[in-house]
Amino acid sequence: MTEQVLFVLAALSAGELHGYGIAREVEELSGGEVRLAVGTLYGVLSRLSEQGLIEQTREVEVSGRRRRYYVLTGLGETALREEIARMHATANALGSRVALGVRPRPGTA
Amino acid sequence: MSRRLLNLCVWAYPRDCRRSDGAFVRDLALELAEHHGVVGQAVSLLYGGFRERLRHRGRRWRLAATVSVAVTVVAGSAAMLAGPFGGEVEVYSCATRDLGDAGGCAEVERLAAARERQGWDCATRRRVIDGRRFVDLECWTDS
Repeated sequence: MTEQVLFVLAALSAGELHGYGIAREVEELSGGEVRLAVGTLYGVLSRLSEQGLIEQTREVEVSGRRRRYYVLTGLGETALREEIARMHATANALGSRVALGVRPRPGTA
Repeated sequence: MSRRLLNLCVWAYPRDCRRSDGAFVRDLALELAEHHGVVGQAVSLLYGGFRERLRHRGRRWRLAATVSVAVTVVAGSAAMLAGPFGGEVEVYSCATRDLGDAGGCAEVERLAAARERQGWDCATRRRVIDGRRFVDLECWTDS
């Protein structure tokens, strides 16, 4: 799962959002680290819809602009939880290794 | 001006995408452009469109390959069942571990020879792939 996909799923975990709302939420969640441009955002939304991780709920026109709203599906929520659990496990494993300190291997010192 | 530029960039996407999502993508690009600039969104549209075209082409190739394999399997099965003259067909195949190990194939060749003695026609195809010997024998009768 790419960073962008992870942030889009996380943004939608709070509830229904439209395309631009997702981009704003992702930027806020990541502290400005992840900025989604239109091509990337559209690609991510299309793929996640195809995979059944998110679904489009409605399309409305606001000030002459079309907005599509999306929500996280049950499958998407599970995928997000699993990815977060995997990242926790990785961080714990690496954290405990680093806490032990890096010692030279016998014969290499 | 920015609307026209982004409209042009949407043409980078395949026709199917433009038809179903063109207006949505353009409007999304316009909203994002208000905060992150038009040029960045235009470049992103061009790059995204190119990637989407590659993805669609890959999908078409995969579909074509699947259909070709399915047609070959169906045609092959039909030919095997029908036989070349509408009679019976028997196919024997064997593979040996190495070129010196002909035991299994000798058995297959003996079976085919027996069929030939009974008046069947047989065709043999021998192949050697990576040191392994493969013998395919097809015998048929039109009776």
